[in-house]
Amino acid sequence: MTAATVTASVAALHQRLTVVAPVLAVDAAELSVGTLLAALADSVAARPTADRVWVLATAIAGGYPSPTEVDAVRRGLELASPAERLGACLAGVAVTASAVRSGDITAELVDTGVLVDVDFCARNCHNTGIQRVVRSTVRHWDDPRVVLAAWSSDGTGYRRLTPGQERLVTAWRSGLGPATEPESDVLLIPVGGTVLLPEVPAHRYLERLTAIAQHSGNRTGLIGYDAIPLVSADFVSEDESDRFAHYLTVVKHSTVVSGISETTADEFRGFVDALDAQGLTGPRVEALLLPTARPPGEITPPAPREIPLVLMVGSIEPRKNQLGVLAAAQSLWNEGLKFELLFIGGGGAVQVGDLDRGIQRARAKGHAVSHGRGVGDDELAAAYRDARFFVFPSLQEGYGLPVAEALASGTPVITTRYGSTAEVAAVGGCLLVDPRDDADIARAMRTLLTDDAELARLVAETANLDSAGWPEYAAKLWDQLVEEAAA
Amino acid sequence: MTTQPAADRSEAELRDELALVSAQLDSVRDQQVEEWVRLIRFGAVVPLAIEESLSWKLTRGVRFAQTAGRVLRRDGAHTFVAIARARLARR
Repeated sequence: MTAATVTASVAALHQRLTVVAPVLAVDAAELSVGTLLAALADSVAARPTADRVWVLATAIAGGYPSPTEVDAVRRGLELASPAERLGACLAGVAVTASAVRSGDITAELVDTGVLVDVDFCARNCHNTGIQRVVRSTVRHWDDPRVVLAAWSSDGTGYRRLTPGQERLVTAWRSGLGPATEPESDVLLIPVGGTVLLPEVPAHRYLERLTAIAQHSGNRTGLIGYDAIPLVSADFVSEDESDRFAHYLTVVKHSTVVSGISETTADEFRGFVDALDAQGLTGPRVEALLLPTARPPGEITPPAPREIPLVLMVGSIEPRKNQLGVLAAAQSLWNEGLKFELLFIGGGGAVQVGDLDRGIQRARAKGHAVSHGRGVGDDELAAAYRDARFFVFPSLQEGYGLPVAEALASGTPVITTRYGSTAEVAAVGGCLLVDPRDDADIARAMRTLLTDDAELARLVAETANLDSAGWPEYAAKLWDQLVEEAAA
Repeated sequence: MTTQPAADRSEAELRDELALVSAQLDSVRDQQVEEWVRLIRFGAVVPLAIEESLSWKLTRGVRFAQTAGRVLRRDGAHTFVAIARARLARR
């Protein structure tokens, strides 16, 4: 430790307090750091609303406080004598303050702005499901109020994106590498605006996000993807279920949730209904079906094929039901039907191992079946286009993006007859099946392999799809999460 | 040369004294904040221990101010300044 580093940390604290002083109705001019902090504590003690306590606690700590810390500071200010207020504030945020790795964190007020948490997309090149939705949506939000943000590496607060992170979010393409620039040391403090969570945040951010949703006074808007980690915990890891359970503590204090389908919205509405038991109102829940948009990638003419291609795209996991499709295909191969089956998607070692062993057994019998991993956008687009039909009998989905992408590519689909995939299928171009019945899946596959007229009818239906794409979805989502939430 | 009335001279002196004490109080508060920063950033102190052990130290300056305010209202400026001098001298 050197005197210079302590001095720099104190100067950074002084800057943060000066930044929030106008919000807390304190004139910071000429006040030294200790006197300014005492004045801010007195001001908040005079009107200790949750949002004012949260702002003061954030500025002191240099990071967002937990709900426990917000309560500690509020109670400290309410119960302490005037002489004890400064100490109550400093002691109340000690946990977060000591978790902030750098002592030189300054602050920027995001006043009545729209702070959008795109942390995962900013740090990762991964681009399936949620990342596609986030990247395809955020790039259309060109409102000057928008501030894209990622969490600091110590997980204590939002930072503006670095140029490399911004590229990953708004100009993503296959082959783009992770951002390497150092992160900003300026903490974003949202005040009187909106915080949007279009991703499902990582576990370590959830406690601070709960405090933001519950106490900061900012409106909080979320995209609700599904409740699978909780309602179908048998399909996910314990960590994933645990994360989602804590994510719901953010949800219950948020302002609005936009479900990506009616099915998903109903799941969140069910959760909100249960909040009566906690004396909470919960968020408003809306539904906004994702667009039936063509997958990213170059459009090229179909490649000539000797035997028809049947395609399934999705992460390799029991919920997606690849093994059900493989069993159905096996029964059709046994009947003498000729077709190639292609699975595209990555997954955990156990799940991929199970599928690959089944594929090896089928190939040993001379059947054309393969599994593509790490497939690029162009190859994926070509597979959608080349397939005779797409099969996706998932046991549960929040939406079913591959179904929509296949339909938008003009490829008929076999999918699950209930839930969100049935919603997506309502536009036409689909045969619906019971995903728990391999014979039903096989029946539908047989129909589309052998009945050219039925196939042509479904192909024709895909041409009638709503042409609304990501720009329209982004505009409607903005209205739901920002404009209507502020009304 | 004119001589300033005793009462006026006393008032001017008191203003200076108050300004001095006020500056010293600012300085004490700043030192308390600096001590907190030092412990948070560089101290080998777990947060709970900070909460339990530092609150008294951290509030020393404002407790002093509160006491001084009470003395000022009850006993007047002369007594206030005398007490302030004595307290600061003890630091």
